[in-house]
Parts: sequence; structure tokens; C-alpha cells
Amino acid sequence: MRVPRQGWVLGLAAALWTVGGDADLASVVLAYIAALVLVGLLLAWRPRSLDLRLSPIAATVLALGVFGPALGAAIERAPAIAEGEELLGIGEQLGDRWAYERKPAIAPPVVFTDRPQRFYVHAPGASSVRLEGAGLDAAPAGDELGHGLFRVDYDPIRHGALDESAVRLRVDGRVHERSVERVVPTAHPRRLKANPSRTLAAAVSEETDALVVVNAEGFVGAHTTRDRPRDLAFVDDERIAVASAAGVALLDARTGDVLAEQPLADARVLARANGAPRTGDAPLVVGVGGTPARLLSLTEALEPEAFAELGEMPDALVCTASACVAALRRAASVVVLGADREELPLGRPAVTLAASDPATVLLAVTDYSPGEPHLGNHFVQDQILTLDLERRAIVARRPTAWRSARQAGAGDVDRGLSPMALDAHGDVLRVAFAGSDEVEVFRPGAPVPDVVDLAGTPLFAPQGVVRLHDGALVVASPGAGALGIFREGSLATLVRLEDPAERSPTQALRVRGEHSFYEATRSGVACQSCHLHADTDHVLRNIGGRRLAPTLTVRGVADTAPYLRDGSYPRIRDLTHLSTTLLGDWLRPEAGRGVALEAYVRALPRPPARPLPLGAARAGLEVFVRAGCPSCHAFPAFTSLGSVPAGALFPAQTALAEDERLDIPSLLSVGARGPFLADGRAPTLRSVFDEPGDRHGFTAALSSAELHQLVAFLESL
Amino acid sequence: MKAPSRWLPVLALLAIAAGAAFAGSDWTAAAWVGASRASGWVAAALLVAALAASPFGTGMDPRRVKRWRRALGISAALAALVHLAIGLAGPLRDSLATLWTWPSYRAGTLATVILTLLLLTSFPSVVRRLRVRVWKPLHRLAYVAGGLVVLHLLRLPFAPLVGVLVFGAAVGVLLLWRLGEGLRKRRAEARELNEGAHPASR
Repeated sequence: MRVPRQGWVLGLAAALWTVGGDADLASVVLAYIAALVLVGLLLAWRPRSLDLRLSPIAATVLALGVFGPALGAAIERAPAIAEGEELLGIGEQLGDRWAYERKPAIAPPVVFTDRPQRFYVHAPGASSVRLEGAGLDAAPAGDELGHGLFRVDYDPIRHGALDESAVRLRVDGRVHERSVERVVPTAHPRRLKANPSRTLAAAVSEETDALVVVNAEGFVGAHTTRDRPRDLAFVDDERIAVASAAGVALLDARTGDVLAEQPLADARVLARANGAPRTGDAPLVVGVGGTPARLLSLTEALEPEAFAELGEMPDALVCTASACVAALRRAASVVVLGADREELPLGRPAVTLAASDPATVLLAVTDYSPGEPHLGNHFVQDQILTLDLERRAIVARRPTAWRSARQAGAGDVDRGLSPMALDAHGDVLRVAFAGSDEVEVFRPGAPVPDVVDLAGTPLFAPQGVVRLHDGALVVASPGAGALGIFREGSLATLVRLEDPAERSPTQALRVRGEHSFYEATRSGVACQSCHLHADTDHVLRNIGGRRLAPTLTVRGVADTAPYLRDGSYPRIRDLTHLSTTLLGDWLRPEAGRGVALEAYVRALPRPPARPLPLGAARAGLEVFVRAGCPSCHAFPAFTSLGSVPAGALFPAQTALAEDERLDIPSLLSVGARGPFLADGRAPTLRSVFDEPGDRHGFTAALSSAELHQLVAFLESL
Repeated sequence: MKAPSRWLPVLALLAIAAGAAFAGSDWTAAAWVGASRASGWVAAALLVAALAASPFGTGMDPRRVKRWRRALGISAALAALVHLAIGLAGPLRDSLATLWTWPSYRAGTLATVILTLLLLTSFPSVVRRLRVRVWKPLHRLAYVAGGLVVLHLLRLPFAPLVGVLVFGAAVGVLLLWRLGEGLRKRRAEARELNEGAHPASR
């Protein structure tokens, strides 16, 4: 048989690539072109030189000899080629792109049944958009912003809760079905606090509008509260104040009867005043959202009085007779509000705080670096700080991570990881560690703390601990949706807010994912260490790259593949790779951890959108379009799900390699992030547009008023 | 009517300019981006048109089909070079390394290199020198270029997925047609050879 000319070309190409080719498609193509040219030149020189006739056996042997090694090389190099050509996970990415490019398109593709949300629908040329679906009593209408973009505000209380994982977009009367992820949140008891005599403890579940009260024997009552309770404080032994999205309500602790109410927009944190300076006789201090965030003191009748203004809503608040102390996340500081006001930088935000005595407050932090940040890769050093309110200074530090005898590897830690709740009573300090699933009891003079291990109980990732008057220990596990009452280190009573058997498989998967999110790795670092409750801690840190980078939020990232700053992870589940390789792997072995973690992260609600009147939103969108922003931050997810070279956007930034890949992030909830840009060099959204070169949006020609409109629009997304 | 190879490239350049003007809000700001995208799509469309000339020209005057195919191919290569030039002068002028380090841009660069090679070997004097035995397989690299363009577009966030899928499907169908046509011709040649050889062997 005669060897065809194409056979010579392919054979030569295969041989060239096997011997000298790299693991990329360019090498394959170049080898083919080289073979083609060589064979062509040979034929041009001696036209009959390749007219070779072989017996079938000889032809087979020759083919095996040439193509066999090439096939082996292809099999060996295939994973590297797929990775190098960025073909891994391309299905997921194209799926996400298709969902947003298929008009009308809706973003974000997740619907929560417990809270108001804002959606964006891109329906070019349409004049009306409505959101319909099974279970919705009323169809929320979209407000047209211009350029085919509609803003749809959905409130499950007003419109009804969606019953299925699909919505129907009625666009100019025509119905388009779009699949969405429907999230029915499970109960999460948080903010566990005790009454003054420590006979009762209570926690609120924002997701299920519930207040649960327990005593040393167990369940006392579960009361339905106003919309989304965020915090609570016992006014006295029998009355509890609850802060919710609707305001503050005073309830009877045992019956749940509402004794008084005060409507306050966006009440978030609440503390007993304890006679702190400037609170007068007011028994409570509450933090309410807005610009600026405010602290108000509340009288017995819940009448508010101005107390202090803060740059941001505090994560936690505690008051003693000396001062109120507020933990600020964005500022990574605590503000001491006594007779005067002083802000103490910590370098990292306080995760939680508790009063130890009238002059001392304890803070749990992931590091203490009020000056220059510690530059170790993923540097986390969990510790408890002692704040002396008279000296206004951190006077003691107690690192908490340690290794127990069960550890195998050198340097591994497995105890005292991610302190999330503190309870100081007398000389004894109790700390709930979400990262190592335990409560530790620190007694004065004891070399090591007593450990109350939650392993073997249904509880995990504790975020609340309270010692009751008779020595019983109440532990809150939001992820498990339960409170546990421990006696002598053992679980005596379990108080569940819901039956786990009634959870759907998806809900059960998310609960597993939540456990992984809070669980620490053997290096002592958990997802939670930096992504505080799945948000950003607003800290710049070294994550193994060439420079400091701001922590990203993991909320609202569903269907925005690829992930991370450089878009190097095609699926959320793949991010477990970071923990298993870089951070020493998790403490517990668990199959399917990545899938569970992805299910949890996808179902995290994004921060609420900042209100912006329709006219201002339209004006802001006009500026957004004029500046060319939709080229990359495309409607409706405000991302085109791609990446751009750093040199193309920020040529003046010498710290960025010119071909460094920058993921195009979604701008939904961008106002809740910061600092901004890949290296966090823009402290505010406004300063993002100070970049020279007119590359990151054509903003140089925009007036100051237009930039203001643009920033207001972005903050409302 | 003048040969299409004379006026078609001019038309392609005008299409690029029109596309850029349409995509960019004005020539001082978004035009670079608009021009880059417009030139890329014009190049892709011309490449498909060049590959489609033979199947659509079946039954027509072969010389006329050849002229059109050549003109479309030349225009596609020129548009690709314009696309590359716009990228180098505009969005990528401070990140030239990405042309080889980013897989999607690398695929586009390779496709442009191939189209340039085909452009350089499209002049009659070169075609004569190369002879048809060399020239033909060389110009089948146009299908490889088509595949590379698909890879180029697939990971570009700015390329509408529908456009990418349509382009990929078009290149795929045309490649299948070319393979089928090659097979059919080979069989016909073998049949002719057999029929010619039969009497002599008797």
C-alpha cells in the first residue's frame, strides 16, 4: 500500500511533537505546520521522494512506531494541556455565561425565602418586566433603569415566598422561565446571651425570625419575633430586647409577649448599657444602620436618644460601667466610648468581645498588628486581647491555638482555633472555638484549659457560650440549629430549633458545607479566619502572592465562574485545593467536602442593597454606560465572567505584572466590600476612579457630579 | 467588475471601521475596544466565508469560485492582521506578553500567524512556485486557524457565546464537508485509475 502524503505530514508532526513539543496546543499546531512545510519542501525538491509503497504489515509497524509514542505523550500531557489551555471547568464557565447572555437574563440566580432581595433583569428592548413564580402572591414589577436593565425588588413578606427553583420573567407580556436556586434557610441561633442572674440564656435566629430561651434544665420557650432578629440583650432577668430589621422590641423572656416596640430602621447590635457613661439611666444601647451608623441609647420605654456616631455598623458591642466598646470591622479597630472617645487600632477586626469586669473588655482577634501587618502567608494567630478601659490600651495577649496529643504532624494545631464567643465570669473565661469544635475553660493558674469537646455531639462550630448560675454551660451552634446544655463536660440536653430529619438533602448538604467553612485546617486557618461569617474582614494580607491583597467576600458569588482574583479556579468546590495543599488540610476527614462547601457558599445571602431613588439609579446607570463599564461588568450580573490583563487596565501599576490575570468581579454588593482593586490600593469606591490612564472605564472626562452619581449607583447594586 | 481581491479587503476595512464606530460611543474613548472587537468578528466572518466558498460554489464556474475564495481569504487575513494591530496599539499595548502567555490570546496569535502564512502564499507567483501538491495541503491550515479562533473566542469574556457557537458550528460543518469531499475525490480517482488500468492489464 502507498503511504498518503497526509500520513507523512501527520507522522512527522507526531514525531516532532513527541520529541520536542511542550504540553500545550501551540506546540501541537507548530509541529504540524513544521511537518507540513518540511514535507512540502521535500516534495518541491524531489516530487517522487515520498512515493513509498509498503506491505500492510510494514505500514502498521511504521504507524505504531510513530503514532504509539505520540499517543502515549498525548495521554501523559493531556491534563497539563487542559490546565495550560484553561479548559478545566470550561463547561461550568460557559454554562454561567450562557445563563446571563440568554435574554431576558436574571441575576443573581439565587432566591431566598427569608429576606428582601434585589434582582437585575436584562431584557433589551423591553418596556415591562415582572417576576412570577409558584408561591408568589404578587408579582414584583421591575423598574426600568435604561439600556434594557430592570431593577426588581422582591420581598417574601410582601410578595410571598417562592415555592420552586424557577422563576418566570414576564417581559412585555411574554413569559420566560429561568432556573434559580431557591434557598430556604435553616435556623441559626446566634448572639447567645445570659440574663443578669444567669438563670436564663437566649439566642436569636435571623433566618427563621425566632428567639429561643433556655435555662439549665433545657427549653423555656421559642418566640416568633419581628423580621430578621439580629441581636438581643436582657434588660433584666425576665425581659429581653431584640433588635431586628424592623426595630427593637421588648419581650417577656418566658412568654414572648411583646411589652414595647420601637421602630428603628436596620437595628443590628444591641447591648445592655450597664450604666456606661453618657447612657444615663437608659438600660440599652442599640446600633442602627445608615450613613453614618449610629449608636442610640434606649430608655425603658425604648425611647431612643443619640449616643454616638460611628463610621460603620459595629460587629459587636459591649458596655460596662466604664465605657461602651464597639468592634469595627472595616477600620480593624475598637472604639471606646467612655467620658471621651478613643479608637484603638488592632490591625485585624475583633471577631467578638465580652466584658470581663467594669474596667476590662476581652477581644477575640485573628491577629494583633496595630502597626505594620504581619506578612506570613495566610498569617493567622488567633488570640484573646485584654483591653484595659482605664488605660485605653491592650494590656495582655493570650494566643489560643495549641496542639493536643492527637496531632501527628510537626507544627499542626488542633485546639483553640477560631475563637467566636467569650464568656467571662469571675476569674474564669470560657471561649467557644468554631474552628476546633470545642469550648475551652480557662481557669487562673491552670497550665492548660479544660476542653469541652463537641465531637460526637450534633453541635459544631460553636458561636456562643454562656455559663449559667448552677454551672451548666450553654453552647450555641448556629450551623446545627441547636443549643446544647453541658454538665461536667458532657452534653446533658440538646435544644433544637428544628428537626434535622426535616431538612431537604440540599439543606443538609449546606449544613455540612457550613461546618467545613468554620472548621480550621491543621495550620490553624479556617475560611472563617479571613472571611468573617463569609464576608470580608477588609484586611490586606499576604496570600502567597507577590503583594498584599484584600480579602474577598464569598457572598453572592454563585454562578460567577471563574473564581479568585486571577480567575484560576473554575468551580467553587475546587477552592478546597487551597486548604488541602497550602494550609495543611482540615482536621476531620470528610468525603465530598468541596461539593458541600460549594452548596453552602452558593446559598449565602449577599449584603442588602443600599437604597437609591429610581431617578438617581437611572442617572447613575447612564454614567456607568457612558464610562464603558458594561464592556466588562456586563448586565445583569455586572460581570462578563472573564479576566483581563493587568497591563491593559492598570499600566501604571508597576507592582502588577503586565500579563497578570485580573478576574472581572461582579459588582453586585460592591459597596459592602473594600478596600478595592486587586491589591487594595483604592480605599473607597470613589478612589477607584482616580486611576490614571482612562483604562479602567472611561472616567477621566466625567465631572465630579457624574462620578458621584456613578458611585451612588454602584453602592446600590 | 473588478476582481473581488481588489475591493473586498477595502470593504472589510470599512466594515471594521463601521463596527468600531457602532460599538464605541465615540472615537476618543471606547473606539479602540470597539475596533478590536469589530475587526475580530469581521476576520472570523470572512474566514468562514472563504471556507464556505467551495461548497457554496459547487456547480458554478470554478475560476470564479477560486477568485472569490482567494479574495475572501486575503480579506480574512488582512482583517486578522488589523485586529492584531489594533490590539497591540490599543488594549494590549501595555501587556504584549499576554499574546503568548494567555491561552486564548495565544490561540488568536497562532491563528493570525497561520492566516498570514496563507496570505503570503496566495500570490500567483508563489502559488506557481509551490505547485499545487504543496500549496493545497498548506492552505488547508485554514481549518486549523478556524479551530484556533474558536479557542480564542471561547475564553474571551467579550465574545457573545451565541456568536462563538455559530462560528464553531460553521467551521465544523465546513471541515466535515471538506473531509467528505476529499474522500469522495479520492474514491473517484481510485475508480478512474482502476477503470483505466483494467483494459491494459488484459
